[in-house]
Amino acid sequence: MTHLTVDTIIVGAGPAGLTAAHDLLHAGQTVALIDDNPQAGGQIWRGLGDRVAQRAAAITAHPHLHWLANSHVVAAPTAHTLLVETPTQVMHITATHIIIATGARERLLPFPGWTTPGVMGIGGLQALAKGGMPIAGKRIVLAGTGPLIWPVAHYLANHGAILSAIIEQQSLPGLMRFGSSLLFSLEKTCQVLTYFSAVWRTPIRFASTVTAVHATRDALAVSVQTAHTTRTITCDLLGVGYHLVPNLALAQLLGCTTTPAGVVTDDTLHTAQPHVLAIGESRGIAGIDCAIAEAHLAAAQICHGDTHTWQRRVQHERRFARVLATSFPVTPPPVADDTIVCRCEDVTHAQLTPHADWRSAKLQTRCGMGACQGRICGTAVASLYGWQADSVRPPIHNARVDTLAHPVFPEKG
Amino acid sequence: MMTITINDQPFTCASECTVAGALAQAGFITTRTSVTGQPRAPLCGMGICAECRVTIDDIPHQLACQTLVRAGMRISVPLQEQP
Repeated sequence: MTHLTVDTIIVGAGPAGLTAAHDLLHAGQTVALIDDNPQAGGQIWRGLGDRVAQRAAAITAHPHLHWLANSHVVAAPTAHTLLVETPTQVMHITATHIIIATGARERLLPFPGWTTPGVMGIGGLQALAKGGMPIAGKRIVLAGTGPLIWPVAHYLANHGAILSAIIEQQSLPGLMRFGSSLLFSLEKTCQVLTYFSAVWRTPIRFASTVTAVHATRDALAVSVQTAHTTRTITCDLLGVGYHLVPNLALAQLLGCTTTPAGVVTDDTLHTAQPHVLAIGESRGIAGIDCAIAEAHLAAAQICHGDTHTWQRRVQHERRFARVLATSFPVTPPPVADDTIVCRCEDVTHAQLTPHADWRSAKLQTRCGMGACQGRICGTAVASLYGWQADSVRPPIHNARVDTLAHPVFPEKG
Repeated sequence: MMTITINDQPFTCASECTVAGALAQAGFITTRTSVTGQPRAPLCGMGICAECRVTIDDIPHQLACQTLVRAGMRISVPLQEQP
């Protein structure tokens, strides 16, 4: 067990976490930066080339930063201490402040065939491509709804993939309203135009849903439903996701108030726990510009810097959150009785429907008790059946036995 | 470029990639067999779903998408028909 004391712990090394780390280090603080990925940058900055990597490396190499990659927060034995598992050791890290920058994950929803190899999330597809999965010359279909489809389509097109189709659940007028509501920001308007320039030759089906997929000898056959018509599209890879959900387990573990939309904070980003701040997508899906503005604000709060400017900036950027929250309503795709909902334990829709809540389903079917600990099926059962988890208990991440030899619950008394 | 082994067969892969990326480069899509015997492959790409669990250097249940390749790394995936 290694003990480490720093001024601030930041959990999540995406754009928000890295920006906050940069500002705090600049102000003379000692910082521990924790991320479960092997590289800093989060899903959005990772694998974007040398310039971004160099900027991230300059922060993670700072002498006052403890950079803990491939590491997980397992528990919070006291309000100011986190139990952290790194690849080689178990650590107690104590800090005056904790910044939650845990970001978001995709809402991945079950449909017949979604467990077929070659079917993945939209962001999942991009993350895997950044990790070296070949996409050049591959026929790819992107489907679902949410803000990820367009930047990922742009990325895939720029890396030589053949975009066979984009299947968007939202209607064309709905998407046009989303586009026009971005006009408040010149930057976002330019982004939208860039994305569309990459996909203008791609067949796009609006108000459509992928209802099934099955593997043929050398491809995937994707069934796409538009109103009462169903057609089949052949591709090599299918990326399908339904918007994003914030990662809330750490905030809940620390006793912060949360809603399904994000960690609840005041205007100064303080959570229900006065020493814990939340920034970026964990506060609600609002995009990278907002995440970075919040990171600057959080650092200014902690170091008594210029909070006023950043507070105004955050308020401006948060407008995008309101747009995002209403522009991509999610309708779960239809599931069949034999559709697997919990992929870790192979629990089907038919096995889950008799249950009144997730607790009962967990106890009787093991839904949500496998390796992912309900992080995939939890959002699925919330969308399909309206079930919510009772509470979060440590360990909040799969941990080694030597890690669990240390107390994970706060000491009583 | 570096050399790794997948199911005891040597493969040359890009040096800056994840195990999931290397497996895909070598044509291995399926990473694990589910509890009812179905083939599964990476889903989320970011360490959430645990579908990419493979055995690396004899240690089971390693997340292929969260592990960077190292020269000489030995990876085992289920022996089954890859799509």
